Amino acid sequence: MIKFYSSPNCPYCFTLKMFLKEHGIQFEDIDIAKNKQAVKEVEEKTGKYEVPVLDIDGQIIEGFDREEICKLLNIKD
Amino acid sequence: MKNINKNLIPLVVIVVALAIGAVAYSNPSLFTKKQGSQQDNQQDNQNVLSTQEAGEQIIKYINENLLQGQATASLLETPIEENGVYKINFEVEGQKYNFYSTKDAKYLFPQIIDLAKEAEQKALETIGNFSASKDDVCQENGKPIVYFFGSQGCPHCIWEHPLIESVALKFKENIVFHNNMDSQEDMDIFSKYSTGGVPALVIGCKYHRTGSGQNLGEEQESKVLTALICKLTGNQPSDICNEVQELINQI
Repeated sequence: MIKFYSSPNCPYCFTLKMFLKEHGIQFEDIDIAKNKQAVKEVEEKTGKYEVPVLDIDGQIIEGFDREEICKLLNIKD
Repeated sequence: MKNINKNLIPLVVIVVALAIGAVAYSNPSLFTKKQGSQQDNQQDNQNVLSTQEAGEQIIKYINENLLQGQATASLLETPIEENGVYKINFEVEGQKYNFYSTKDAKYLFPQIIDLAKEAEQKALETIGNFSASKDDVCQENGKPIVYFFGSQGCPHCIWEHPLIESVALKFKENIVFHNNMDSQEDMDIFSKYSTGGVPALVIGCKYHRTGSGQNLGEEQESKVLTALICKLTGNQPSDICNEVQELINQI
């Protein structure tokens, strides 16, 4: 299960979202601007206060760490 | 197969870690050898395998005992010797791993803590969870540039934004503030110093942090931002910087 924590109109989140879509990766898109529980989840998982955050089967990636994302999702970029 | 692969990653690591414990337990003689005896040294030398032999043994072990036909591990290249152990690069279903083993392939280390890297990282941390860089101070018109990157839709950005705006205002004669809210400006700086997340703060290219300072609270975060900027302006304006001198000394 891949969870994508982001917020609307965030150009930095949009770039990562497009990257995942381009590579056919399915994910649950969670808008933390509307979901306070999600905000709490991100804080608990990362200890940080930022977006976007990806949760790939429990492995947390903060921001757009292309190398790590490609490695975990087996994307040949 | 992709699902198996994903679930396998922690499985391999955990099972290998358990296996290491088991190997150590089942070979107590490894821990009771008399130190420095000539016979033992000769025996140790005899047990040293070539990098290729060690790599093949480890892969065979992983395939036969851990993966058991569910997937296949294979060497990516001939293992290399690094810091007295063998570094083994292999893949399972397209996922790459680096494990280390002793030269006799009797012990396998799935995880390495790089103490030198950890120490280097620690040395670069400064107040307020900011990281320090060794880069020159980036300037515009002879003044340090303070960058904010954020988005209106992001609650953490909304928390941080008024704080940095307010602090930047106190330094309006001493710095140039690039207030990038929902903007595509300064992406070179953003790419260089942020992990790709927002909010991101880059203070004169010397101090940077991704994520807000909510854990510090508004008052302390404002002091941290003030102190970091003072460090770049040579403690100007002095009345502002004198108030946070204690923090400046910790940078």
